[in-house]
Amino acid sequence: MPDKEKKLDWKKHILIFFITLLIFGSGFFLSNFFFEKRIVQIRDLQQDLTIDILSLETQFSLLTQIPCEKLKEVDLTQQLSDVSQKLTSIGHGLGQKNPDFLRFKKYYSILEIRYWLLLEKAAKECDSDLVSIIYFYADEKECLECENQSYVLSYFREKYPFLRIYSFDYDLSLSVVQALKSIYSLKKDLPITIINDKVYYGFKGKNALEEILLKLTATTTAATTKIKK
Amino acid sequence: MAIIEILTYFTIFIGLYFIIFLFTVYLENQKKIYKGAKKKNFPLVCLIVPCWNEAKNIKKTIRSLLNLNYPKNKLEIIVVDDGSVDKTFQKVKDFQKSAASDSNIKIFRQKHEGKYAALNLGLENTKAKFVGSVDADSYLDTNALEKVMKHFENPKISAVASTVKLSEAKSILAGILYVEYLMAAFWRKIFSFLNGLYITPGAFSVYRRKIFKILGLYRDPYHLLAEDLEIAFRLQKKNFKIAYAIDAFVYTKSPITIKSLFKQRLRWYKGFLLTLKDYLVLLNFKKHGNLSFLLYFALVSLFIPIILVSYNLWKIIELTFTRINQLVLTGFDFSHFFSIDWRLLSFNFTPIFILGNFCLIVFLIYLYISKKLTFDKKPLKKNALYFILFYVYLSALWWLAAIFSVLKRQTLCLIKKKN
Repeated sequence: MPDKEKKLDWKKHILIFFITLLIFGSGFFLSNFFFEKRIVQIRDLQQDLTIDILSLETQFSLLTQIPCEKLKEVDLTQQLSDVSQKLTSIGHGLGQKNPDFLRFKKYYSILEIRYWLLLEKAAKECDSDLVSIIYFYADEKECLECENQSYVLSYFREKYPFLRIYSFDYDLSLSVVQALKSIYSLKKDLPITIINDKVYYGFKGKNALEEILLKLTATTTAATTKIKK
Repeated sequence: MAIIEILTYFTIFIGLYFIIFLFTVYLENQKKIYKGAKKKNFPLVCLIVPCWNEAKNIKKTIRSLLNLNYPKNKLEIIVVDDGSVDKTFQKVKDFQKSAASDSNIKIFRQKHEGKYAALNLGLENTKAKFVGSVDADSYLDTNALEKVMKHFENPKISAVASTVKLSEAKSILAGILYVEYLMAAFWRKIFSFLNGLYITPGAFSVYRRKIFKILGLYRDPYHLLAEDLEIAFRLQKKNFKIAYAIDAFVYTKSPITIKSLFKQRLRWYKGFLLTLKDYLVLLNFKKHGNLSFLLYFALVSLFIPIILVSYNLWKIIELTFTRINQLVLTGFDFSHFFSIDWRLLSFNFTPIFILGNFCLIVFLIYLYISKKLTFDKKPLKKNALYFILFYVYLSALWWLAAIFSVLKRQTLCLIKKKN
């Protein structure tokens, strides 16, 4: 028999176990709460972006010809990039297969395509020197080099402001993305970069990408000068 | 989720459980922290100071004993020179001659046999009802003995441990240890409320002499200077009560270098593991209840710093690898490497981050309570920061070393037995 004062108070230990469980659970609850806040933030950002794109589209429809000076004024690339980065961060927290995350991703992909189409249309009319890169990626299990390719592209986006990069999850079950894949008859050899309608399979490093851009933009003086610099 | 993350959550849960448990015990016993009434009777106490090559410190130690607020005729000081090769013996002799005639200092000399043997020689040469051990590199607060002796008014108390503080905290290392010692005082007080104190620090502890007659003299089977731990385990095994005088201070020196600290801790923790192996009965819940719980926690907590450090290192290595890879990918273009978009910078409020911060807040509360309970006046902000930043790495290092060392020793013993 243990000494009276040494005797373990089981009731107390059970109570403490539940208190600990409660505090422990609160940690998870709070973490989830902050995540929800960030999801709301993304939703707001996406809504702002939708309004901006819609407004631009409407402006173009209203006017008989596309206002090129307006195009230079309004650049939604940064906003798209912001949403993309926040989405990536949310994806890490929620998990890539999370239905909420997938819904956001689909919506974001649609916005990207709409913005891309808009800019393509405008570029033709305004003789713009913008270069579009469509980039297909997949998660780490499917594509080991995709993370590296994403980083190189984000570096290019910052270094060359005339670049417009639109990234899509290859495996996203979204009809628009499927359509895009069939337009370019893509096979699953990731990462895939499509630069000015030309498809490139596999990882393209800094030097390789610069070489491609140099060749493609040889006719565009401004862009060529920027790359050479 | 990676295994290391699951282990980290487990560690946090165990840590949380323990700190909540300690806090409830503290709240229940808040009014019993100090022994209030002034002491009226003063029994004869013998303080034994074993020393080995302590010529530098011994005078200060003995002087602190002579300055104790305790009747001189009730205090006996026995200095045992454990075969020093420096001038320790001569210094004590000189001190003995120059000390006041009413001071009762005895000095003995033996060939170098170890601290436990020196203590035993002291024990054999006293008739005092109470005997205390004092480390030769430590010195006592003037009220320390009186505060300790108050606890013996309860006849059930067999031994009383005191609060060990660092005499100074000038370096970062000493600052970290200063905080550690302060926290230990609070924990030990709570352990004593549960009758689960399993150490009577060699720096300064007092015992009823009769317990040595019942239990036998000091032992140090592994030659790790763990006689203070061993005697406490032996006391607990026989259900003798150990009290803790949180307001009785003994000041000691901290190891100066990481190497000397590492050596000291390896000795302590190896001593703990090996001594516990000899007293496995203390882990029996049915026999030792709270003490078993505290010992089990001590065993589990060996892995807490190791897991936390592994998690941290994993994160640091992962981040470093990613960043180097990014540099390689951009041909070492640092312009993009350092560009941070502050608008998008947001913390990932993961459960580990939230719970880790909760534990940190609780630690600060505990530190504040410890400071208050031990009447500590030193500014602690800097030292607390050093403690938060580095302690977990240090403790992971010495616990790992102790575990490996014990496992190696056990394997060697097994091989010897087989042969």
